[in-house]
Amino acid sequence: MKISNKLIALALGTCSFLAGCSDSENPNWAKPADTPTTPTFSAFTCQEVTDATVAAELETAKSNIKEILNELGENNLKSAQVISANTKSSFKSVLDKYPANCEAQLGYALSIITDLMNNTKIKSFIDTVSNKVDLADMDIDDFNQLLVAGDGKLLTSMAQEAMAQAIPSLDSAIIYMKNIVGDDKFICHYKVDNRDFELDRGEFAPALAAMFVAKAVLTFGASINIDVSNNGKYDWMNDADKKDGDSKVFADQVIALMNKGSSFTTVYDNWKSRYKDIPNLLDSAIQFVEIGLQYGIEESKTGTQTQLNDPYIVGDGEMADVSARDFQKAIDSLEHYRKTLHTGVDVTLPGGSKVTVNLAKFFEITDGWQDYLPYHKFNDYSEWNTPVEGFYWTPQLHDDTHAEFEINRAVRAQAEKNENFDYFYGHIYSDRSTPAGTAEYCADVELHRGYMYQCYSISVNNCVVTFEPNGDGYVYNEGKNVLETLPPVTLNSSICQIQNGVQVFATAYDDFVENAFYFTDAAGNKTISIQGLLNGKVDEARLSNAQQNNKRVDPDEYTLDDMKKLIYFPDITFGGVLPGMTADRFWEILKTEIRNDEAYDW
Amino acid sequence: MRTTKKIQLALGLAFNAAFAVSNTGLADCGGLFLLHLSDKQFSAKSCSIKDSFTVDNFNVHGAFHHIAIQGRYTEGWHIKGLNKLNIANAGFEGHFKNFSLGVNVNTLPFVSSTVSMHRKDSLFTASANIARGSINLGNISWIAERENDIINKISADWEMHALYRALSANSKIDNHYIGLSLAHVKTYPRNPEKTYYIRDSASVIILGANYGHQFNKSRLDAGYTYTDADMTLYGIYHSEESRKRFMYMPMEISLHMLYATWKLDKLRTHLEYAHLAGKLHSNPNRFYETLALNRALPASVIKGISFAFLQKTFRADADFNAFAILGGASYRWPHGRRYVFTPIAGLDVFGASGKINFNKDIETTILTTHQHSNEKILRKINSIGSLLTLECEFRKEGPVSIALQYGISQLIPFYIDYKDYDANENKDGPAHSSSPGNPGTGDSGTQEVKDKAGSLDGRISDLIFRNGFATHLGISVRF
Repeated sequence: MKISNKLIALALGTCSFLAGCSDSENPNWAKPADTPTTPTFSAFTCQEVTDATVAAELETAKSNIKEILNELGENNLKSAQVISANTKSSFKSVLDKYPANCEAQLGYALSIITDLMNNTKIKSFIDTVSNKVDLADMDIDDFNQLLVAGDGKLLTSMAQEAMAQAIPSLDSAIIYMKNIVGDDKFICHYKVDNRDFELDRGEFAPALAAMFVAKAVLTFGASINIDVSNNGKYDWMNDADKKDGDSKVFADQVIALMNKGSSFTTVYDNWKSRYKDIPNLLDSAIQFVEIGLQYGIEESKTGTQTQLNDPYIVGDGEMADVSARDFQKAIDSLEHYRKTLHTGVDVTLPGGSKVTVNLAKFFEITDGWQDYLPYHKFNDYSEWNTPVEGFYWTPQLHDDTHAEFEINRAVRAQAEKNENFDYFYGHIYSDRSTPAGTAEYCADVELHRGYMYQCYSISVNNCVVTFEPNGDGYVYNEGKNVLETLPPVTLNSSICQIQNGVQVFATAYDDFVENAFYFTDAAGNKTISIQGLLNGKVDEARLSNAQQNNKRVDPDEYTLDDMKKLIYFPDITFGGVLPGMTADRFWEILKTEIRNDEAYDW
Repeated sequence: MRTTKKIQLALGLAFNAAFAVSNTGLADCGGLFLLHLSDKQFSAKSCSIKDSFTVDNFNVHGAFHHIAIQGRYTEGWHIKGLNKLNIANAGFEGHFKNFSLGVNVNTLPFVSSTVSMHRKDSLFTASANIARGSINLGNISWIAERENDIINKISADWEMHALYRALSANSKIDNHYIGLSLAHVKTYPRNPEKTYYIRDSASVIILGANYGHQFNKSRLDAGYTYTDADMTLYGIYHSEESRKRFMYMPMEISLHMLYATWKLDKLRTHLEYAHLAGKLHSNPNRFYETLALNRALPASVIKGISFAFLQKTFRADADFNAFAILGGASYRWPHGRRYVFTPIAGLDVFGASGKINFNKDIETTILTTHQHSNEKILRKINSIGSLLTLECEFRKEGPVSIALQYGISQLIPFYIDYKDYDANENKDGPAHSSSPGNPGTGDSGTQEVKDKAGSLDGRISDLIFRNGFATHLGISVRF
């Protein structure tokens, strides 16, 4: 199994923390997570602990928090889990006696977060992902094994459940932290490596902001359907992996997922209200960051002496980390960007273009993002290897000929006869000096317990390819070489023809690209295929020169001005995210920003 | 303007200056192309014209120099240095019965004055020199590996403000020449009105001694120079009233140099030795981190929230040690009398060795979590090679004397061994001793040796004239 495939498997497993999946109509293997119940309770303003025994208990728990943070800092998850379980109960005990003590509230809020690692579903998900990683390391290449748990549940669904479980804990921590941030006199002291640290509102407020962001991320992840399985199975991924993308089931699944009626990328019904509330969570996050920064500004007015143990010092001199003016500029910018969460606000891009952005509209898109893709139409899989654009006819058998695709398909079928077949790759090698209609072809076959590499001299006559092993190759497969002899392959007339008595091959201008889909205008008229777009354009003179001199053509890429006439969006404002955007403006901005990107030169 | 045009212009100016107002004119252009590799580049070019005339005991001189130095080093990230200077220089000297006075002013700006006392028979000479001014050391840019990094470029100017004081004494007794010198350079930190700049504070002591003996047909000279420097570099980000220190690098450097030359008629031989050692110290105190990149961020939302969400500081200790020995000879073959054509060939052999030991502590703070990590790197280079020099000189003697010189030098290494020892310490595990044949750092963990010679390899045609190559062209006129 290729590393890239492992990565896909692991990415789908682990990154599903950020985006969930499930089909509301599907049974157990992919149902959406239940929406959590939001906890409600009150926290009181800060009050000192007077009982010596309770004070000692609080100090011990505080010390444990430091240990947990240290362990997390060192990525020792297991150790942090153990300490966290005890610490949370210690803080709870103090809070029961002194519900208004802020140190206990802070500690309890932090331990709620760290103790998430001990939540049954989260722990189960972490353990499952860990097991799947081990499987991938053992070269298990079955996506059904990698992405489906033992009870048939999709890994992505488990991730969504874990995320949903984390949200109430975050809500509880947020209630405590809000109370702590509300008291600008509350300071927490602790020590790391003999250095005294002092935490105050300058740190508590950003920490609270981080909790709001975390809640927003978890809500986003639990709300979106990114279930790419086919009825709970990933056979289409297995097939694509084996056949290097040359798979009908793979093509059909991709077409189905990109279909406007697909549930893929839609928001689950029971999560819609929470999903639409994400801008408010982000708004709260920004406001609390601003509160933290403002506290730094206020603190700097009395000098730096009161900040000596703060994680950062606000002031103008060299014995300070950041100036109050820089913080004020950050607040002004944040305030500007905060408005994008509710209404359209001008944002300046790196290249200087100004765009009006309204992020609130993005969170109103709940019926899938497919509706906003450019107008396009997928071809039936039977047409994917048909050259339609971005190619020319040449007698030379170049490495980007469409014939390579067809030859690979035939050789792969031969290789698949081996029961250990895992992965196949074949490639044509030729240059200008190679006689027309001939080339070297090498096939690379990975087996579960072996490897085969075989090269052939190939020649094509009347569009029939014959293979002659040229002695270059080796076999590690208990002596069995299913590629020793290959039967002739007859090429399809769409990729090989006899024109004026000369055998010619369809060859991509630049790279072989499958004829998977084409762009259309609003009326459904074809503008260009993806095959044509990616291969660029060649004028007649240049094409003729290349053919006469037996050289590869050197195509010009389609410019953004060209694309503007070929790619049309059904809604260029993307559902109001970019209010007032027009197609002309959109392509102009792209031109400006890409120019800026290309101008980067150190 | 292309270099060839600059050379032509300089030569033309020199001719005009020489014939118009002076009895001595000199124009000279040279280039040193030391390295041009994928990850390292260094080159320097300079052109100068000088003119002077003497009336009785007074000498007045003027000069113009153009200097361009550039270098680049790549290690994932890039560091690039560039300095272009145009310096106009003017001064005079007055020689009296028992003393001489001299004043020199240039546009750096730098002013120096010299007073020297001497006996009429030149048996003993003592001189004092004092100079003050600033030197623009150019621009240093650090460029991130990825364009989209939060900090993708820091470009800082470096200007040094220095006071130079020197005393020297020379004596000539029969055929013996003896000289002693002492110099002290102190630089004063200044805060310019620039967004990013490097500020320095340095104290440098230079001690020198030399001895020469004139034999019947030959002359022997030998000398020793010791330089000791304590220097602290500060990297500062400046915005309105705020100045933030993002770099702090205290260094100690010492340099020992020995030389001996012997000239016999057309043969010149020399032997030189240099030893350079230095240390970069880390400081555990707050605001004395070697690098604290959060403070270098320009005002932005990212900067505002970075102090709470991600602070990263680096504290580095390093020591480096290098020596080089160079010895060789050159021979001149003069032809002609009134028109003298002199080819000169020189061949030197060198050996050089150097190593740098680098220990970096990285502290990361995210909200209330703190993480420490450590990286150790040892790099070594050993090289043996030769330096081939070919020069030719054309001189027309007479009431008007003209000399034209052109020379090239090419470094030809026989052996280069450049290795990178990654010695990242395993904090929890026991320290490992260095493996046999692996010099190591002595106190490091497991080491991985990477042969860095690849970056020094290449086709000969790619290396010569672009690496270890120097050339110069000069013309002088005297009448």
